[in-house]
Amino acid sequence: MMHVRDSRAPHEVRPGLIPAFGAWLAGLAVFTVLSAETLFAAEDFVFLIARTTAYVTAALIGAVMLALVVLFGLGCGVMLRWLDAAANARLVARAVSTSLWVVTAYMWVGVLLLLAWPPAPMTVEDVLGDALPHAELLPTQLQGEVAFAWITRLRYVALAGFLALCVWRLARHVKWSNAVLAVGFGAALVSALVGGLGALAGALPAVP
Amino acid sequence: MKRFGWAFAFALAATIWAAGMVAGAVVAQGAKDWTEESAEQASRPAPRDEPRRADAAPQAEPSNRVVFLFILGRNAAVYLWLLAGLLSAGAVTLVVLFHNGMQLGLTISFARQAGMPTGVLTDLLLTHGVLELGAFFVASAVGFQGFRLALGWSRSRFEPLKALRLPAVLLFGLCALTGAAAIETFVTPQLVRFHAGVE
Repeated sequence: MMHVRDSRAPHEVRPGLIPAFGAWLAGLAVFTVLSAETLFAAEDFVFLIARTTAYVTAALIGAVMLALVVLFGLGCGVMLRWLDAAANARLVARAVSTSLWVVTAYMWVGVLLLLAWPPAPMTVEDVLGDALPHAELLPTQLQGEVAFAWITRLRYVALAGFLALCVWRLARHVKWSNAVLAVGFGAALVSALVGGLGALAGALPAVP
Repeated sequence: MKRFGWAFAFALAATIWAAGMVAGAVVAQGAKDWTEESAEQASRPAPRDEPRRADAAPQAEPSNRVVFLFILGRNAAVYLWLLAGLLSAGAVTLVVLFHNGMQLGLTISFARQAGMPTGVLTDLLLTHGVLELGAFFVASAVGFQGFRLALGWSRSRFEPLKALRLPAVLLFGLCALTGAAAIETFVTPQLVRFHAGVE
């Protein structure tokens, strides 16, 4: 019976993640440039700040995504080890890396959607005029754009595809039930971290 | 992990944070220049102030306990995100630290532009900032070790994690951030009143 804890150094199980994550990161960069440079294209300082914010946010998303993927893999590995399944670190790393290609594909589909239906540039009036008192409605307005609406819908498909592919890859080496439990635990761990930190950061409304 | 380079990691964290502050100050200066230019040109309609609705309920002041928990929660979230660099080769730490510095740079610059004296600003920020930033830099120094872990410089799987002393780091963070939040909630408002009364 092999264990998740093996003697291999981390660098031996790392390379599989690099192409998938690199391609995803490249997609994120193109997606950010396309959306920021079309939505916030107007010659105005407000839009310079908007573009800067968009790029900083994209960098944050890229870094956090890497951490979440690693955490997901660790969660899967820990659960498989607890179940005493015939798995090792390389197997989990391969399963996660392969499944990440689904998310990468989703990102590049988003790029294609933006190229096909580029969003209309926002104007200063959109930001400083009547829209200002209703700033909370801006995300809803953005979803009215064809590309953004489809990207929002497709994220669930991408997530389901990622999890399903991960289960399938693991199930080739361990029992189906163990693969499902491991992937479920990894997903729950990521959800708990994101949800917990989100609740922590926005603690004011939750406190009586 | 003996040649862990805590001092280097701490200095790196301070440098990245300071770079973020400078970036925030530059953006704030740009905003000031743009506002002055657009005021001269007077081509922009001023943002309209919405008249306060008569039936709008008056906003109740949050209690000190709520403010304390709010500040502590926000800072704890930042602290944990800084530690998440361990899972991302230090990438999360780098971006969150820069972003945090940029936000403070913007805040300080806008306060200076509004005419707040440096002494008052220092009193208001440094009293809790020393503890808060110290905690953030410690978390960052740990988070940056994620780069080292990702490169697989150590051949042992558990020795590097043990050397990080994560329980001690978490305990220190909790204590320091609780102290900082307490100062920000109970002492800083007194300083604001003091400065408002003197000046």
